[in-house]
Amino acid sequence: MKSGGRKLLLAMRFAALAIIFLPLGSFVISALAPYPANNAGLEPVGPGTGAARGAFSMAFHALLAPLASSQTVSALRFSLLQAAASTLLAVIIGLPGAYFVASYEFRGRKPFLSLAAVPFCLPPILVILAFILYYGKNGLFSKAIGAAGIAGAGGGFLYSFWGLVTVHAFYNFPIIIQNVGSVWGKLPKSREEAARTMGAGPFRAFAAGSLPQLLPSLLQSASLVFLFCFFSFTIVLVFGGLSGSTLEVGIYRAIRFTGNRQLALALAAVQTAIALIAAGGFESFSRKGAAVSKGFGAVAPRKRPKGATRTAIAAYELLTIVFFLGPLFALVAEAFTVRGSMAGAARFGFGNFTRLLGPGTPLVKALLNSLSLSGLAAILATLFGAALSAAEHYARSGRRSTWIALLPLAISPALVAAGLSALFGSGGRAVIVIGQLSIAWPFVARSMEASFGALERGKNEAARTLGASPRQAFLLADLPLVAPSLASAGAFAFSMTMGDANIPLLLGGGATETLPLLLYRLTSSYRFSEACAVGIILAIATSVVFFVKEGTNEPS
Amino acid sequence: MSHLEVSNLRFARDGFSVSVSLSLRKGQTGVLLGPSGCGKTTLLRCVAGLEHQDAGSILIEGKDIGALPPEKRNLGFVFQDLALFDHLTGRQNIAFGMKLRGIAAAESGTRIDALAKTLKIHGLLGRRPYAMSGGERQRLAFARAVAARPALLLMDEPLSSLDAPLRRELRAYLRSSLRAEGVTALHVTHDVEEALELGDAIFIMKDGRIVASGAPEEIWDNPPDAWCVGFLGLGALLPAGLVKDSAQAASLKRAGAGAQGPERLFVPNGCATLCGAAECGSAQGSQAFFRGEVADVIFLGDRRRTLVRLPAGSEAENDTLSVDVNADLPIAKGESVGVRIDLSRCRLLPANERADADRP
Amino acid sequence: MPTLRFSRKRTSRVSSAIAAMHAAILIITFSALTLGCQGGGAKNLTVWTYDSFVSEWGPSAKLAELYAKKTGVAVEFVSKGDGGALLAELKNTGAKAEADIVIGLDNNTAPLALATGLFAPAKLPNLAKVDKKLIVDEKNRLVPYDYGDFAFIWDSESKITPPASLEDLTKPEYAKKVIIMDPRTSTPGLGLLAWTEAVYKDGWRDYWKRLAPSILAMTPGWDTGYGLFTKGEAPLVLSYSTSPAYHKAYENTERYKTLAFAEGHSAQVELAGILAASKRKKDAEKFLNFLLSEEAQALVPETQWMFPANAETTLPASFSVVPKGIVTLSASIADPVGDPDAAAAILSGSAR
Repeated sequence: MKSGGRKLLLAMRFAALAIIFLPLGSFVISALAPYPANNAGLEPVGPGTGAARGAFSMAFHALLAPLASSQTVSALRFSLLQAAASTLLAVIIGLPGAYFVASYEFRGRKPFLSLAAVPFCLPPILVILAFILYYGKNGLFSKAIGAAGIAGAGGGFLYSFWGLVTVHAFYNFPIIIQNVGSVWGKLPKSREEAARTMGAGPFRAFAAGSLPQLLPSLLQSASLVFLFCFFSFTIVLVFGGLSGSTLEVGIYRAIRFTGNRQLALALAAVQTAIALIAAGGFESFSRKGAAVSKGFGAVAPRKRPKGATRTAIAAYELLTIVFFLGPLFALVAEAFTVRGSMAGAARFGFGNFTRLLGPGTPLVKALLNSLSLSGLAAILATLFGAALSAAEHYARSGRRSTWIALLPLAISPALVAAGLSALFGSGGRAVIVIGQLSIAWPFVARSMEASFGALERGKNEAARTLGASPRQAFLLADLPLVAPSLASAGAFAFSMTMGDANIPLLLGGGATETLPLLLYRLTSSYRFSEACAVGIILAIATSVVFFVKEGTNEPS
Repeated sequence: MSHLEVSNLRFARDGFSVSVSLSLRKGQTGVLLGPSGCGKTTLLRCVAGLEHQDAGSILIEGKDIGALPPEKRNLGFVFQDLALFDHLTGRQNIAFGMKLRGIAAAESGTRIDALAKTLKIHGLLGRRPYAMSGGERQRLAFARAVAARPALLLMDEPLSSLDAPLRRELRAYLRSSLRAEGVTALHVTHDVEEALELGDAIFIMKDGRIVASGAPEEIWDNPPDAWCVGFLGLGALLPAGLVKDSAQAASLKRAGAGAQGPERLFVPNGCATLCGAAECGSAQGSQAFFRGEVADVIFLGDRRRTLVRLPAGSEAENDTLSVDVNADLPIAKGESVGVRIDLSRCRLLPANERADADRP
Repeated sequence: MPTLRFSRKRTSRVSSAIAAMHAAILIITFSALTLGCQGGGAKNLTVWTYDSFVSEWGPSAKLAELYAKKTGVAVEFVSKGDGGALLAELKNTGAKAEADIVIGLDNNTAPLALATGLFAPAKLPNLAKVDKKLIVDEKNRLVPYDYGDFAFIWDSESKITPPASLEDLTKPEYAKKVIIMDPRTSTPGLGLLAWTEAVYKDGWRDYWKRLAPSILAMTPGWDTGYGLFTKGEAPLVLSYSTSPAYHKAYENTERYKTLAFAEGHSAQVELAGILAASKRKKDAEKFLNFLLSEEAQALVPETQWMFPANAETTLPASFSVVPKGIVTLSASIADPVGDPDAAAAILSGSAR
């Protein structure tokens, strides 16, 4: 099994690296390919000519100039600043939730944990729409606090640096709750109690006893949130546009508007360098966290909250509903708001939906396209991610690390899309599948890694002693245990690919219309209420993950 | 005056309840002995302040600490999983409590060195706990707990996670360290040998109550009921009706005055010996005879343990009596043998549940 | 080989897993069927354009239908994203572009597009009916098919008085009340830049500095900005003079009004052209000519919400709300590569 397992692992790793680096490589080549240094749209120099090599090195040197330019520096600074501030705020908001979820049994605990799927599944454009509908000048929230007599925060807050940071923090804090909360829940209390008996008050005891073990998990989730905010694109453009722009925006512009691929490459290099540091941090904190959770000791069972704690939890849930779920609710309300005529008031109705089912039935077509393309991408991503995880687990049982799955997290999506279209040409259906598969499989691989890691070798070995071959042992002993998390990871991948608007957009749309693309086209055609209607359908499709997760009871 | 006085401590949760009174003199090591789930750990945690009792008082040197939070009770606690701080070195671990209690660095440093030398971990003080062996971590945990000279040391099965040889070795350390420190200690365990070696006063707990207490010899000589006999492995328990001779039956000592319910005949270890089947006569004086068949012979190094199945048709049908004999005595399975019991040392005890159900 | 049976309780976890796998199989089969259909062939006349042109509410479907009925030639419209992406795609694929016609460049991106040398001159009789002012390229490599003035739209239900000029926008009463688009990523943003350069000449940078406090948001594209506007985030938005026509047509309201500035507006002229590498230049020319005919141009107003290039086209009733007589300036951007970045930087700098 060992040598076979090793070969399989190498093959899977090779495939993963290929998926990651082929688009990247094709982009790099297209950027460094023989274009003259001042790419103002002149004729490309043909390869094979003597001038080609000269032009190549010219292009390479062209990379150095943008790297040092003030734009790059300020974009880098802004990217780091907003990501750091957003992460900090997300941690501050999320930690109390993590504490509650870990220590207490209360109504709404499971939904809290499922909330963490939202940042992965809701496309940014929906988030933006939702936030505007809720926190904007005429938003539900602003109107509500206005009616209550509390002065609003001022219209410009959302569009300032701190507005951006707040949006990011609200979008991502459930990740903290889920990751830190699950580790916290498994922490044995004995170290805290030991500190108490030695004279430490409750807070000091927490700091000495539990915090050192929570820290790796906290830093791990913080790294993840940092990565998401660092690569944030649409949200930054809308809410942070005035205070600065991130590297990703710069790359996007360079590729799609000025056609300056060298600049894009230079910016991407800086971006990936930073992201790799964050991803590396994520990996090392994950390992430390894994070591901690293997420590022994009795874990106190969760108790029902009493008194002040119960009030605190209720307050926290209320705040979450008001500030986090509120915007989503506003989205739903908007979808059912029909503005037949401005003279009359807006009324509740299905008009937005029926208009979409009108001539050409764009909604149905887009839905089917999405289901088939994104569905296929999700299935492929699940199979591939799980296979890679399995290969890692069985070939190197003991030390598990699908670090390969982290690499995609450090690469600019705009770059990947550009590389893919250079390879395959944009506009085809297959490219969309490949593109979405590339974004989803790393998450499947990481979550399956945890499941495979939790497999006790004992059951597999017991099967072997009873006469099973390695393959049979896998099928009969391990697979049934892993199957629920496989389904859960698959549902998660499905939500990601369904909700992904980036790949179809960045690939230029083409002839295939998916739900997210329909959404964008609606917003480009003045039809915002209908866009919300499509948004609801999209949100329902991506929320399938909640139901499957409930069914499989997977804390992930 | 007793150093530790626990009066009518009551604790009830989810159908599980504890009701206990006990006291310890200064410098004594008390052992809470009992099977899993008997409430000994809960009692310990109540004394520590990690659980809240429903009623009752806990006095240390006359002062009621029942309402104080754990950090104000001036205790030491050694946890089952040791609860060492993995991110601190050995020295820092030991210094932790002293720092919190405001003891100056110089003084605490001296104390740490002295303790560490006694416990033979002085060379390890710079290491982190995960870089130490099981026994070394154990001693570190002990040092940490006693460093600030607590009024009471509490230990919750601290040796249970170690393998047997290590456990024996550390028991010795623990015993001598407890003597040397002169600290009053309350130790929880389910291991009878450990209790005997460490305890000045033993409290046997069952279902949340103390069923026997006293010095080890007292309990050994006078177990209160058949359950304790079974738990402590003091001997065999046979049906009371086995002794048919009324004179003998009357002369049997009884324990548990006013005991209700069924009784069992307690045959302490060593009271039963093997004899030839032919020698089995009728009961006379303080000797009773039974016939039986050797069901199994187990070689135990310096002796053989024979399991004798008592005869069918008697009340002890299929009960086996285990009798230890000299190793060089030839005995084979299936042999018919006789068992002679010295009744002068036997007793009738209240049954208090089936003995075999509680045997650890 | 002994058979192994592991008794497994049919837990809900396993049931959900099985259900999920059934769904997966369904999806795979369905996708396999649809994935194959790539549709289209090299025989169709291929037009590259942008998203809203090919959307259900754009003109492409009707145009293809009309043209097919007229000539029997099938025309296929392929979207390359938004306007800026169209140009980028052209630059990347160069002569290998599998298109015959490109629809959707504009006067601001024209210089860069023409510099690629990818377009061929076209001889179009209907061009005579187009207003001479709209002609961007004498050689007719890129011809106008619709146009619109950039203008600020005002929400008449807001409490502010409408500004009358670009300079008015900088007044303190309009602080954080204006939504514009990013000149680095959108054509309206570029249009505003050209507008300010035409009105203020070299002093345009100072103008942007004065404008900064009035800006609530600078959105990446027109859609987000206009969406914010209709949601009431701000009473003024940069858009097209024809925007109110949509609201008149579909919402029967005249709430949103175009503000005509006396100093003149910059305009966006949308252009189409034939690719030199096309193998069906004659057919392409015929289609382009059709695009400029009254029949085709009549589709423009209520799909593109722009003015038709063909001056003889009748405008629909909804366009009555669009102010006539807006002065169109001849506006261009001095440094198309550097100025957008400079403008954005000026805004961010002032926002600190």
